[in-house]
Amino acid sequence: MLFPTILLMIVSVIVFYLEYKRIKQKQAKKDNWVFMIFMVLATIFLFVYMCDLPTPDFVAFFEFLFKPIRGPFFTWLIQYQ
Amino acid sequence: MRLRSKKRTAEEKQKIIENISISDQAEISTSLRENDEIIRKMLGNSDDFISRKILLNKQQPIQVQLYYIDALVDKDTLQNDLLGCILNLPSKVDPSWKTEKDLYDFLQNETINTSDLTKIENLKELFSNLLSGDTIILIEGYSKAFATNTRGGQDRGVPEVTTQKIIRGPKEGFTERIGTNIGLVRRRIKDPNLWVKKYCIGEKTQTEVSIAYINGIVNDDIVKEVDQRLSRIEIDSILESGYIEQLIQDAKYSPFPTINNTERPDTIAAGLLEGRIAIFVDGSPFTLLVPALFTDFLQSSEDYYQRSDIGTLLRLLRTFAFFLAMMTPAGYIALTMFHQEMVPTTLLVGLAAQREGIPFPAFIEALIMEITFELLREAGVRLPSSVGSAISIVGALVLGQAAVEAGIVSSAMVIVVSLTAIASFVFPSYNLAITVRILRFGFMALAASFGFFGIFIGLILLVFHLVSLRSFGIPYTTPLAPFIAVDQKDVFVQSVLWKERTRPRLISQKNITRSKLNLPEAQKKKR
Amino acid sequence: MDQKISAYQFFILVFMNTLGTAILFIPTHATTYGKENGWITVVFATIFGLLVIAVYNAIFSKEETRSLFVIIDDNFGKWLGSISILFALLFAYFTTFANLWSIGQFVGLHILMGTPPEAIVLLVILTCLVGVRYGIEVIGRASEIFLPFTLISLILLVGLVWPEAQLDNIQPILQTNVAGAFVGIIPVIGITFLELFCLLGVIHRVNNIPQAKKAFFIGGLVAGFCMIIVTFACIAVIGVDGTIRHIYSIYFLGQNISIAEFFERVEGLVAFIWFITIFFKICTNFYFIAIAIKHLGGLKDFRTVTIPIAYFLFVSAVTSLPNIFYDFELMNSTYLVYAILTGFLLPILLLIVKIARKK
Repeated sequence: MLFPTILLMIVSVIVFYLEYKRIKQKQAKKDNWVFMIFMVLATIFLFVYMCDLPTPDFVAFFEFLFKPIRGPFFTWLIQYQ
Repeated sequence: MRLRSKKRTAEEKQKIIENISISDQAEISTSLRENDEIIRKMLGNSDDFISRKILLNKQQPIQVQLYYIDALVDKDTLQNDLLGCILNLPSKVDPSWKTEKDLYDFLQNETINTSDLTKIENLKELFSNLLSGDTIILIEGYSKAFATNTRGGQDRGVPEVTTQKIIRGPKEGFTERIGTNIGLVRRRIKDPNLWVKKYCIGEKTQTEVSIAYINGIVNDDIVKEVDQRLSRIEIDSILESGYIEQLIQDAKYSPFPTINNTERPDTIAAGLLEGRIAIFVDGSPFTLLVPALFTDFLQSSEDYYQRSDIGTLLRLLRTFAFFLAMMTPAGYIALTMFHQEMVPTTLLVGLAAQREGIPFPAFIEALIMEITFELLREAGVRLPSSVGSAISIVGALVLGQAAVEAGIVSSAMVIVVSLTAIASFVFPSYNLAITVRILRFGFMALAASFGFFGIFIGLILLVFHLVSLRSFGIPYTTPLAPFIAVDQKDVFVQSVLWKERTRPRLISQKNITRSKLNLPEAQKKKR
Repeated sequence: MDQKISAYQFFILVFMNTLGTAILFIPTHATTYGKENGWITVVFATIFGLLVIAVYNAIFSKEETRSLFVIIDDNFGKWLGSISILFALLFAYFTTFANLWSIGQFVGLHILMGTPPEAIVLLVILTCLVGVRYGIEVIGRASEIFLPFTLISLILLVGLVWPEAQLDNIQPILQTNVAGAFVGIIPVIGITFLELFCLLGVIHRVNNIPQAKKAFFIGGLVAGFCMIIVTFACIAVIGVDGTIRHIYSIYFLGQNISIAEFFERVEGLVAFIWFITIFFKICTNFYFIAIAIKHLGGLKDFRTVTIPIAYFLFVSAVTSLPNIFYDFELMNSTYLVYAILTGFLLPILLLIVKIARKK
């Protein structure tokens, strides 16, 4: 996975640069900051995935969020299957 | 005799010569000799530049000087209508004209036979007229010059159309002369509302560019847009309408043409009547037509000259050919590399047997053949016609038999490539054919990596790109997306002529009605 | 530059969004609950779905120019509004990566055997990214181009399977499993009509709001009709057991067709219908996420965050869901709960607050 990881990171940096320049032309300071934060996070996220490290699991998060409703609801529903 | 005396020093003259391209206001001197000197210096004593001195009125000699560029003038006009008239003036003519206005009247009303005579105020205008083929008349003692229209020179005449051949319909095509071209269109639309506006573009070439439209049908916003874009051009030369096309088109980085071009006056006339704008460029037989929609490139003027069922069939055929030319090799690659299960078993066995000895994967095989074919086609265009037949023999042998027998490509591949080639010659417009040629390779690559799913992705991307395009504010895929129900009568299916009662909606937007009478029904009633 | 779409384009987007995942999963889902009455489940689901759409429509008054987010903010207040929007945004995110995952899974399993799903997901997300960055106008127009092909494929599919239908399979009608047939409405609605909530973010872009509401309704109706037909065909042709056993029962249906040994293996049609619809579904949901973030962050342009979101979506899509069975369980539990909360309770709450404020 080394080669694709390096490739994707290089692509990320190029994309970052191009998009940063594009937003800068529009002179929207807030957009620039938000983009930078999001992009850095996203690149780290991608990098973690490419290195086979555990990524934040959104589904588990949602399951945790709806835990009180989810369980009983599912058991009620499944009896009709 | 001199009305005004204005002597210039040598330095001043030098200054004028240096600055003439910048300062428009350099005036014409009253002294003939001075003018002569400046003009000769500016033109670098070019040998095709001819000046001729004439003495009028032997009692009170008036020096007249004529200037023209040999190759640009029409000799007949010059000799008969200008020189002849001036020389045949009764020698005892009384130079009663005291003011410049009198002189102009005298020349215009009593002397010169040519169609138009214009007064010239400064040197810049003088050169621009001189280099357009006018003959310049300078008279000793006057600070104004006169230009007579003697434009001529070599011309092809009205030729037969060479690139957009049709079977039924007018054969004449545009030529390099802008005047002739506009005339060809005017002869078809005898309406005072056909308005022409002239521009002069190109610092060095001073190329005449004219836009034409039918006032009352055309969408004024588009006229304004075209006018703005043309005025914005700053370039040294315009040598062909392709320059203008590239400088004013909407999508700068799109393989799809957003401006139509044609050699056919009837196509231009039809476009004008739909509310489009024609852009004529001097020196090019290809006239531009804006706005251009995607479906325009699949239509030919001939469709309307034949019955609608034939037109419909041809249009559907062309649409089919568009996809065929773009995706046949890609489809073949996807089938043989990924989706063998979709091929009928008997055919699959045959294909497998053919491909057994082939050393390359289908993608490489297709690439080799496509590139060879593109080379061959390009060579065929450039070759002198006497060698053309040799190339076609080589092509047939190399591409067809020999390549298969040598085991480089399979014979199915030859069929695929020839099918693509034939399909790509179907389009009435060359622009779209080139687009398809470019896109074909993209589709092949996608098919080689993702099979039919890749082709599908390519199609989605293509549609995204197509619908995002605009041509002078009009969405490129107009009658399809945004969907306009009434305009469907003239897209893929061409309805009968008497039912095409309206112009395309978005293009013209006003004066929609084309014909009011329902002809065949009226005839029926008479019976 | 405010991009506008026509009511007709909105209708197509509604149609595509409803059918998106549904066309492939609904027959199995509905039949699991309703057995031979599965198609009746879909009929009732459509009726309830239209009620949901009526609720959605009621949120927007006749001459509404505000976007959904502004309406939420105005009614709930800044803080509560932002939390609601974030809640809806995460739902859209969930939907999008689940759809991405299922397209990767499906293509990897059935169309390109051996191609890693990651590559397919990447390809799809990049294509959607292009579409979203072009804006809603382009998505709307592109959907217009693809609609005829989708409809023709659908009609062809149903027309071709018709000769193989056995009406014994759907009998008895509403005699057994009646309770299941009605309970099944909930999960069916959960992955179809409740996901239309994302389109509320687009509705203010339509140039004529009353017509847009009508289009919303008709779109739901036509899509529901298509789902009924497809479910009916599935049960009638391959039977209740077959429909339940096959995860992609409609795809299996396509594989089984053989008419006069000429029309064979038309599953390509199914795949085509599904790809097109799911593509536009992903695009609109992606767009919803982008404009929601734009609203929350007070950004100038929604394109600012599209590229990072694409990254997030890609990684989530390839890591979050282990297999299709887990996905099915999810669709009946967590996802369904979430869908009801955002797609049903949130709009109703919004409506109640709106009416209460008026008085």
